[in-house]
Amino acid sequence: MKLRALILLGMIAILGWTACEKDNGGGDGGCDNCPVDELIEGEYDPETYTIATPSWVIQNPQIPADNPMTEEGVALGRMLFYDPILSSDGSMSCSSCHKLNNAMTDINQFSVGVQGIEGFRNSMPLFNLAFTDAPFFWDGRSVTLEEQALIPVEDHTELNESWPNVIRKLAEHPDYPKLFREAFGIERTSEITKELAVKAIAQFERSIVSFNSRYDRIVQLNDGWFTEAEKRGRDLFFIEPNSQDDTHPGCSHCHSGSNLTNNLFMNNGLDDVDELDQFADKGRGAVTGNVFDNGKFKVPSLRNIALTAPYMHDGRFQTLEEVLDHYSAGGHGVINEDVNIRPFPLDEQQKSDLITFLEMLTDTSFVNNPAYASPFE
Amino acid sequence: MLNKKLLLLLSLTLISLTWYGCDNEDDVPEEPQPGVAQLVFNASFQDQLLTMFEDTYDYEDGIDLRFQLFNFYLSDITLVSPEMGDVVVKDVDLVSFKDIYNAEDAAKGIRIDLGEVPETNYTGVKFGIGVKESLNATQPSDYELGHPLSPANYWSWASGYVFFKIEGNADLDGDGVFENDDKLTFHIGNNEYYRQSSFDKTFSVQPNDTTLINFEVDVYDMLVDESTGEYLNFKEVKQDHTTNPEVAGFLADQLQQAIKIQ
Repeated sequence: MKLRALILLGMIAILGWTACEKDNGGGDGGCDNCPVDELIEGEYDPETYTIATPSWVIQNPQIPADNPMTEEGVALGRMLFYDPILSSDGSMSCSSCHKLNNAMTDINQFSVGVQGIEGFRNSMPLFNLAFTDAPFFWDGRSVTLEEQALIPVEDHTELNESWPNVIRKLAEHPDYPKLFREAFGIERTSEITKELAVKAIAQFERSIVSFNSRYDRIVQLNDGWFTEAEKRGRDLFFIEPNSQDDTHPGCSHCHSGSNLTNNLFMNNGLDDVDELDQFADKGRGAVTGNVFDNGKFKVPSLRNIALTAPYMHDGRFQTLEEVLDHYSAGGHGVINEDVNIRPFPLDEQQKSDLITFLEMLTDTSFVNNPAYASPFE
Repeated sequence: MLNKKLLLLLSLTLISLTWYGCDNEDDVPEEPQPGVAQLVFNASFQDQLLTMFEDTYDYEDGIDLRFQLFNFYLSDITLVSPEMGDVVVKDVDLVSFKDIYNAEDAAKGIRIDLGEVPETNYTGVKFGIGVKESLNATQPSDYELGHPLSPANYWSWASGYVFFKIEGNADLDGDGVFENDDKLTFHIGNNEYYRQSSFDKTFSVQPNDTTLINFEVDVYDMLVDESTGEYLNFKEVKQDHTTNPEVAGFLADQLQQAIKIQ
């Protein structure tokens, strides 16, 4: 046993020796592009941030254990979300394509990035994101909000920047190092990372909540009454087609729950293809590799829908009338088209009533909430 | 210089690993692992395996069918032991065939993990089909996302869960064309459609072993009552969301009959 111990001691000594020896291959030890590394002054005493969730909401906010929400983290995330420092030419921020007035979407069919290049999908709304465990983007390619926030910075059709550049700019900024310290307790500017940046952005995004529409106030708070048109629209929306009457649109079949979405990926009958591999945009299928997921996209919330035109993953419809006409027509019978996409009658009065109901889902307190607005204005 | 040191280090590491690897004087006998059990559900349509989307199934009256979704809840999964009586091993889970796209996956079936269960002999299995009343009075916010009682199967307007779903397409005249308005959706819930089943089966759960308890669900038997000849006629009924008691009751009763232990 003594011999074995001696050999092991010898190995440890060799390990220590090799680990401590100066590497002679790296020049003189200095570099021009090394990030600044300075001590950050200031307090680290974060305050827990609690998402205000109405009691009637049937889902709980999901906060990842490795990114608990704090007032300081949300504040930093809000700064980063609105700051064009994340783009290569300092001209755009996340908010360029997610505008609060439009329920955090873009009125353009396809957003245009810093290079003047269009994307190929419509900008998604950002609210109530804490209330889902579904993956993010129209095709669900990011499992977490943190992962999602990494992508637009380096996307050439969006902010077209590199994360190392962003981190360097943040580390050299007069304010951000202190904000990172307040949010995450780091001690040196070299500890600012993209992982911390996207954690902060995700915290801000999770803080954005919208559950205060006219519909919520009437149904949940007994505050006010439906108009006749709203009542008719509500019934068209919520009453399921059934064996006695299959003429109802059945909107709530997919747009259900407190957030008016089932958070699933579905083929809602937009495109007619003979074979599933013929979809121009394969959507979810491009992520999963499963041909039966081709042409499927995330079912969005219908909250604030009157503010989020144009509609669908590719923004093909400019108005809610066009959307309703599409659903009334009943799809194309593609093999993975959802079974709830089927023709139903919808006259002009019914269409008007349904839109009146959908307009009830607008939450003006959300789009006017200063906590979600730019901190730079 | 560095290469020589690394070579020496690697040699010593290899010698040391070999030496210690061969030395078994300090080996400790492995602790026995607790016995675990799983329910395995295979779905079929008569003599065909049930897959989603592509495969076509012959039905009654010249109708052909395809499926997009088939799932059902189980509640109070219980193993019956002569020694221990009824052992409830799981309160609720969802058996879902929605991701079964080919025969290979269909043959594997859907596994419901019961975890560690008491190691003894058993003579049967019991469970409820649907969500038992006490759980059906809860809502998704009572659970973490990812729990079987998720928002995806919750009807907020009915304050309860959909006990089972079957969705698909019908070719009503068997001409090979699945018309766009012949889509089928049957979602059944409400406490009155909760059913309880018990099955006789002798098996034992042993340490270091996974016991599989196999079930077969024939969807044809869910749609057709062969004892009376009654069947769900899709030329008349294409959807129901527990609004027609006759349809809901028929499907609940038939699903109970369609699940058989192997």
